[in-house]
Amino acid sequence: MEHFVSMEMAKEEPGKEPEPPVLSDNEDTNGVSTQKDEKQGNEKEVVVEGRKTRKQQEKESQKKIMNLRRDLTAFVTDIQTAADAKVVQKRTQLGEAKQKREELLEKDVKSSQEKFDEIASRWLIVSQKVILPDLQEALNKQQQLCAVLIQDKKKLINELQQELKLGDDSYVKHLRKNAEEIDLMIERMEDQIQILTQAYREELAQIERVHQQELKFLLSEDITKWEEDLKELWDKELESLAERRKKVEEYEEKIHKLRFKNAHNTKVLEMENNAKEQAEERTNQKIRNATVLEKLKHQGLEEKETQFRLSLANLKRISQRDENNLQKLKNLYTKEQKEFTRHSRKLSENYKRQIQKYERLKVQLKHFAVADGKTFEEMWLMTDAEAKQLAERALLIDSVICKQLLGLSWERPHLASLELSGPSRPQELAGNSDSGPERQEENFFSDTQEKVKELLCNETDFLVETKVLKLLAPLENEEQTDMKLVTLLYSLGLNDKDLPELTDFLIKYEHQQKEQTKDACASSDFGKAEETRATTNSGPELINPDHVLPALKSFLEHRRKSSAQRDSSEHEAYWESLGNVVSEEKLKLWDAAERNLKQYHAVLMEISDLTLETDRLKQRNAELRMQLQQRLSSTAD
Amino acid sequence: MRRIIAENPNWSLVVVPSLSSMCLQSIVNNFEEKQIFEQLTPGQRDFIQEGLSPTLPLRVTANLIPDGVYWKRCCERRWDLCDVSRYGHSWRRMFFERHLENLIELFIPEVTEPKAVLDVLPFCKSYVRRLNVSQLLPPIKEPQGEKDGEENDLDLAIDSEHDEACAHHFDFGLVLRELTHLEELALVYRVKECGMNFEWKMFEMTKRDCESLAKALKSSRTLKLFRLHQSNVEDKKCRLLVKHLLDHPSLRELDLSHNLIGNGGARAIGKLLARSKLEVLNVCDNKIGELGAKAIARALSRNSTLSSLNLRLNLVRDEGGAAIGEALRSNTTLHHLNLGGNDMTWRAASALSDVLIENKTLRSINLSCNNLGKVGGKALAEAMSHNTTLTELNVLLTEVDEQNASFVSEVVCANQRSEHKKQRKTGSIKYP
Repeated sequence: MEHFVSMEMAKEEPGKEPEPPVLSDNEDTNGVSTQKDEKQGNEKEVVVEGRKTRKQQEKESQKKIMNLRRDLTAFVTDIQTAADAKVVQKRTQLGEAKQKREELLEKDVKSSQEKFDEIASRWLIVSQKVILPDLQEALNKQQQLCAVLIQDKKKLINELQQELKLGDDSYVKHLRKNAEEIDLMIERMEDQIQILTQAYREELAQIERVHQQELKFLLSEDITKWEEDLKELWDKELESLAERRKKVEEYEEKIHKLRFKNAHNTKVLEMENNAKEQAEERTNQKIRNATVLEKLKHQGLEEKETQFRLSLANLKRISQRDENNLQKLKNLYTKEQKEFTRHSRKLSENYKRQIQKYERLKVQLKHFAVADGKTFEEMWLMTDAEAKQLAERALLIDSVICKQLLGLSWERPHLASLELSGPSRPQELAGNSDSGPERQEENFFSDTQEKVKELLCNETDFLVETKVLKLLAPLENEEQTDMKLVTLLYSLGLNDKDLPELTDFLIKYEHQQKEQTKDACASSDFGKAEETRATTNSGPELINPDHVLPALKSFLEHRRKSSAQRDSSEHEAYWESLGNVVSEEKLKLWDAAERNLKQYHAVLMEISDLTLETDRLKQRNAELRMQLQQRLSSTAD
Repeated sequence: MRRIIAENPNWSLVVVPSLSSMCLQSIVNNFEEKQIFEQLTPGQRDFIQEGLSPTLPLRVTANLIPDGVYWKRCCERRWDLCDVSRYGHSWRRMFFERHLENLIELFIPEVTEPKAVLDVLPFCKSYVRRLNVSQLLPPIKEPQGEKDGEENDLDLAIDSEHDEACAHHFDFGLVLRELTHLEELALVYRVKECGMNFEWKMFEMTKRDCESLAKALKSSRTLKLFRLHQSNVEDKKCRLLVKHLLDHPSLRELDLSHNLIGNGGARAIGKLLARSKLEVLNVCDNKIGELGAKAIARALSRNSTLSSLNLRLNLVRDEGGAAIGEALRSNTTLHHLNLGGNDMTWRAASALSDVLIENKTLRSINLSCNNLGKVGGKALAEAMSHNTTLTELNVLLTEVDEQNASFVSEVVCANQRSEHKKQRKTGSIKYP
């Protein structure tokens, strides 16, 4: 019996109790943990987002959430505790039932024990009985009693079994209830989780919103503040920069000044130092000198003298050497001078020689010119004579041809030109001879010539180029005039040889002019005439400078005329007349005659050839006859 | 070529797989004979993990295939519900733990070869951290057993002894020795879905079971959590277990809830508290009486590691509660205490409230479902007015009058808030 009870208990206890609390525990913790997780997240975000943000909002939300959590968890734990309470209740009930059962069993045991004792005691009576019917009766009674006992027991057993069944049923009911409760709890928890998560989300959103607002606000504030500060900073920086720049400039100036000052000071110091040093040195030197002097004095004056002497000798030697050098140089100089003079002399001699040579050449030239004139004359005469002879001969041949060949009457043509050649020749020769004595005069008037030249140059400066004048300016007078003359002559188209001619011409021209003026006013002023004469006497070359130019012009014209005079047109005519002694017609006539004569000549030549051939043939014939005769004679032999 | 296209409009060159993918496919097909995995590129490895058959023997795959797609496929193929977050986000760990659990749960002593389990262990041992065995099958003894059951009515004592002699469950000694990374072990000696074959002895462990289990627990050096639920552990077995758990190097949490532990077992547990580093002890829904509670209280007064004690639904009563309260005077580590449903009255409440004034470490106390009455409520309210650390005090269904209850809850709320502030100030927000 007890076994059953214990079984029931065992059945009830582990089956009924354990499941709800365990499950509820697990679920609860799970729920809480999820909540906690979320809360953690929330808190973290709160912490991360900003510590300065409004704590009120946080606090509020925290409070809310905490309350919510507590309430909700309480909601669940209530169920758990209720279940626990039920379990406790059940336990007490079970305990009571157990006690009752135990009492009942004890009672039963007692009563059954009594009955058993009765039966057992009866057995003795039964065993004493010998009579069968009695025994039978007794046995029956015993059996009855036992049956009663068994019935009692069976009854009890039935009761207990019924109780057990009831217990089983209630246990099953309990299980179902528990299951329902668990389901309910799960549902609740799920709801709560949802509620909580929603609440968390809401709170989170709110907190976030608040935080964001605050963040924005703070950010804008900070930004404005930052900008302001930055501006201030910039301004300050700029100001300080400007100040610093100024300061730098000031300092630079100061430094410059200081540097100069320092340099100056140091230099002054140095100089002072130098001066001091030098003074010291000087004093030292003096002292040393003094000491030296003293020493020298102490050593003796003789040594000094000898030294002096030695130095004097040295100096003398040096001076002597210098003198020698000087002498040498002088000698060299004189030598050089001599050589130079010699050289110049040589050169002048050379020059003179050259001039002489030139003069000689001039004379030679003149001589050759005269000789050429003579030869020209002779040649002229000769060729003239020859030409005349030839003309005569031509005329003679013509006459022969006309008279003999043609049988025409021949007239002697006019030959006037033959006599024309005569007078032209002596004129030229006379011109040449005229210039000769004048040249001889020239030598005597070289001085006058020089002066004339000078005058000429001075008067005709304008003809010379200014450049040349500038170049000539630094030269001496004589050279200047020479050069000017050369250029002048060149520009006038004259030669050096023409110069004396020109001077002569100028002088003559002056004379002519003077005579003219004298004639014009001879009696007008006697004193004046005398003066002019005096001037002419002193130097006939002195020409009035005003007359130089017209004189030059006339000279040039004269020269042009004289050159034109030399034209040999007469000579040409003369020579042409000589060439035309035989006329054209005559020439034609002569040609025809020649032709005829040639024909005649050819005929004659033929005849002569033929005669020659005949001669040869005759000769051959004779030879052949001879040969024949010889053969014949030979053959005859 | 052209003919093929003409005949088959769906033909396209894309359908023809590339040589490399064909090679990979052949590697997949012949993976059992020849394992080519390490020398492949990550992309190719992914392909192989996608393609490998989940039925390949574990000896091939266990240590070669890394955690990932393959193990996910294996898991999903075998079980509908796969919450990888409970397994440290490791599909391989999940696979091996659940595989081993399945093997143990379906192990029938004397029928199944122990080799079937032992063969797997070498592959499992480096991945299994937690074993949650939800059933252990008893050995089969069909006709005889039934007969025994019929005869049981006559001779209970002999039969039960006989049963105990032969109805041994799976021996954990073999397994725990091998699993060098095991940290959590949860056992329930029961048979799920037994239906009409129900027998009481399906739901209890035998003495030999207990012995072997105790030895196995002792041999495991890494175990941190041991949980034995609803397995009819009485004082004897409890003592036996505790005897072997004394001075365990790593055990931190012990859960023997919903058993039949009485005062004797509680005394043993008190001894265990003194000689271990237990941090969490849960013995709710047992039969620990006043003496057992006193023994535990004694241990508690000396212990310096325990932070949570659950004595819910026991028979501690006033004396036990007072003893525990007394012990808390000198204890500075206990944070959570649950004395719900222990048939306590105002005396225990007043004893506890005396402690609450002094103790600064307790965070939560649960006194629900005790008959504390108005006096007890008053004492608690008074004590709470001096306390600033307690953040949870459950006085539901204790017949405390509303005034005191609300006062208590107010104080608790205030304490909670101040706690929050403290946490805020220290900057480190920890959630117990």
